[in-house]
Amino acid sequence: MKYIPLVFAGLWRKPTRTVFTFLSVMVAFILFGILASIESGFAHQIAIARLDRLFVDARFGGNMPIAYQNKIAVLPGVTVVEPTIGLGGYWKDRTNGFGVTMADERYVQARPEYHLTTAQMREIDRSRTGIVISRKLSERYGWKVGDRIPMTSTTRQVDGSTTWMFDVKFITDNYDFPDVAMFALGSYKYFDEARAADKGTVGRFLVRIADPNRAAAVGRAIDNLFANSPQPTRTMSEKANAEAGTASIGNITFFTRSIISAVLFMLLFLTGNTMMQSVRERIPEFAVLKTIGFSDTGVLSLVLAEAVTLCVLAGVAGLTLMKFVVPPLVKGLPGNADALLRMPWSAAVAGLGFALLTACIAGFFPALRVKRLNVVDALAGR
Amino acid sequence: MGFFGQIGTVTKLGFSTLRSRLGASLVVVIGMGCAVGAFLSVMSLSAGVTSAISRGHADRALVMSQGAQFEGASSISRTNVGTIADSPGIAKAADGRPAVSAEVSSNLSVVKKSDGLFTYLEVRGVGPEILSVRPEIHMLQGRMFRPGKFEVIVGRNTPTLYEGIGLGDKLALPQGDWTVVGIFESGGDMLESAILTDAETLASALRQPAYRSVWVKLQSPAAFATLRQALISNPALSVELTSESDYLRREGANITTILKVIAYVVGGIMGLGAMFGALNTMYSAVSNRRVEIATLRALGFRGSAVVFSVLAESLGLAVLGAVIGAVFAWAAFAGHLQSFGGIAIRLGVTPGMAVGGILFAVFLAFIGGIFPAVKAARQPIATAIRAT
Repeated sequence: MKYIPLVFAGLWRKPTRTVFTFLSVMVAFILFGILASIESGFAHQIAIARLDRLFVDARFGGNMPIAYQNKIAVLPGVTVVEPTIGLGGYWKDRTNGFGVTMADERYVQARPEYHLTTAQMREIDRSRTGIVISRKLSERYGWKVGDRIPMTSTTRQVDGSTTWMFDVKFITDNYDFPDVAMFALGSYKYFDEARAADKGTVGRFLVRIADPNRAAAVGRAIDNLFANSPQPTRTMSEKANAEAGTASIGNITFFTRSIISAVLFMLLFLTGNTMMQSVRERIPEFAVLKTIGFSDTGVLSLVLAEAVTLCVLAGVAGLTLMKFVVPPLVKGLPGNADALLRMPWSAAVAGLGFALLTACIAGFFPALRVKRLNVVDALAGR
Repeated sequence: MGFFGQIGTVTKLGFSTLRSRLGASLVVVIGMGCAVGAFLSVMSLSAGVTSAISRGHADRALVMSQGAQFEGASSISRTNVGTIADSPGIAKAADGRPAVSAEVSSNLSVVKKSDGLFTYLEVRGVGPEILSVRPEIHMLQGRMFRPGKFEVIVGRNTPTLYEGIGLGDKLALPQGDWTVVGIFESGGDMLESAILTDAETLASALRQPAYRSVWVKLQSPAAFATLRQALISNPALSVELTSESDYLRREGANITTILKVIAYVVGGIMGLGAMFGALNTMYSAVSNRRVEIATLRALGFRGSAVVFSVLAESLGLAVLGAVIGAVFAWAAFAGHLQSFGGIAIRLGVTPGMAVGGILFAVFLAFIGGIFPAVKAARQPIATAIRAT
C-alpha cells in the first residue's frame, strides 16, 4: 500500500504522455463496450428463444386456414395452439411504421414473458378495437392508454376502407427484452370480421409443447399433417428461428471479435510503447531504488503496477461511460439501436479482464528490463 | 539555402534518425493501420449493398397497390393487371405486346454452405415479357424455364452460396419438385440471388388468385409521369407507381445507413485512439531530437522548417499505416461473396473508400503532429542545445 504514491509519481512524471495514453485506452474500451454490447445483444436473443415454443408458418409464403389449429391441438405433447396474423401499416406518416399482431386470450399462455392477463385479452376482444402496446412503442409515438390510433394499411375492410382504428387499452412489456420490445396486440376476432378478403386465415400458429426435447419431433408431426394439403406448413422452434435469423445478418461474432482483436492489438503497442519510453527515461532512478534496497522483483512489480494502474483506470473510465453515459444518449435512435448498446455487466467484467491482460503483456518487457538492470552500469549512465 | 531547401534538409535529417525511434514510430503505423483497416472492412459490406441496390434503371418502374411500402404488402388483381398493361407510356415488347411483368412470389428455404443454417430465398414468378422488362437477364448455363412446367432458373450467386441449387437439381416448391433448368446473370443486381419461374404456373401452384406487383418497362424515363398520371386518374385502379431506382434506394437506405454508421463509429473511435498514440509518438520524437533541432535552429534554420519536418514525419508514418490497413482490408474482403439477409452481397473496397480512409489518417496525423511540431520549433535554443 505504501508504494501507491510511488506508482502515481512514476505515471505522473510526464503528464502529457500519461494523459494521451489514458485517453487512447479509454476510447478503445468504449469501442470494446459497443462491440461487446452488440454481440451480447444478439446472443441474448438466441439464449432467450425457447425450444418449447414452435412457429408454424405457411411453407411457401401466404396464410394458412385457421382450421389447422384443431388438428395441431390434438397432437400428443402440444399444450397451447395460438393462431396469430400480423397487420402492418403506418400512423399519420409513412415513416411511422408499426404492426399489430392479432391474437386471442391463448396468447397469454403462448407468450408468458409478456406478463399479460387473460382478463386483459378478453377486454381487447370485447372492445373489438382495443390493443395492448409495449412501453417502447408507447414512448416512440407518445401513445397513452385511452388514445385512438388510426393505422393506414393496404388491407381492406368490409366497408372498403383501408384505415383501421385502434384504442390503446393497456401498456405492457416483453420482460425478456424490457424497454426495447416493439409490439402491439389486437383482437383476431375483430380483425377477421372486419377484413374484406382472406377471412379465416392465419399467418402463424404459436405452439407450446410440454417437452422441449421433442421440439423437432413435434415439428415434423405438424408438418406431416399438412404435407399433402394445398397449403403445407413449415414448423421450427423459436430457438432455431432465432439462430437462423441472427446468422442471416452475417456472422456477427466473427465481425465483432475481429474488430475487438484489432483494437486490443493496437492498444498493446500503444501502452507497451508508453511503458518502454517511460522506463528508458528512468533507468538511473530505478538504479537508485535498487541501491537503497528494492529487490529485483520489487522494481519489476513497480513497473507492472504502473502499467496495470494506467490500463485499468482508463478501462474503467471507458466502460463506465459505455455503461452509464451512452444508453441515455442513444435513447432516441431509430430501430433497436439502443437495445444493442446496452452493455451487460458480464461484458464490463470481460473488458476489465482485457485491460488487465493488456497491461501485463505491455508492461512485461519494460518490467523485465528493470529487473535485470545492472546497478553499477545504470548509475554510471552506460 | 531557400525555405524549401531548409524543409528538405530538416525532414531528411528527421527520417534518417527514424531508425533509433523505430518502436515508437510503429505505434503510429499500427494504430492508423488498425483504424483504417477496420473502417474499410465495415465499409466493404456497405459498398456491396450499395452496388447491389444502385442498379436501378430509370426506364423501369413498379406498380404496387396504394399505400404499399414494399412488394410483399402489395396485391393486384388479374383484371387490374390488364388495365395497367393498356395504360400509356409503357414500351412494347418485340411481339408488340406491352412490356410488363405481373409477378407473384414464394420462398424456398435453403441451407447456407457457409454455416449450415437455413435462410429464405425469394422465388419470383415473372410474366412472359420478362426479357423485355429486364433485358439484362442472360442465360449463363442451360435454358429458360417453360411456362406450365415446374421449371425454374436461378441467379448465378445461388449455386455458390447455398446447398442443392445446381443445374438439374430438384427444388421443393409448391405442389412438388421443380427442376433447375438454367442459371442466369442479371448485371450484378439483387435478382442474381433469386429464383425465377413462370408467374402463371407459380400462381396456380400456390392457388393465389391475385398478383403481387407489376413491373413495367417505360418508353423512356420521361414516360414515367405519363404512366403515373394515367394510373392515378383511372378510377378502377388504386395503385401507385415507383421508379425502380427510388424503390431500391428506399429498400436499401436503412441497411446502408446502419452499416455506414457502424463503419464511422468504429473507424472514428479507433482513429481517435490512434491519434492519441500519434501525439505521444511525435512528442517523444521531438523530445529525443531536442538537441538536434536546437542545433539546426542555431545554425539558422527557421522554426517553420522544423514544424514542416515534424509534420512530414507524422504524416509519412500515418500514410504508411493507412495504406497497409487498406491493402489488408482489400485482400481480406474485396470480391468476397457473402449471404446477407437472403441476398448475396459482393463485398467491395473501392479506390474512393481507400482514399477516404487514407485522408482520414492524414487528418488525424496532422492533429497528432502539429502540437509537438510547434513545441519543437518554439523551444528556447540556448537551454535545449545544452540538454543531455
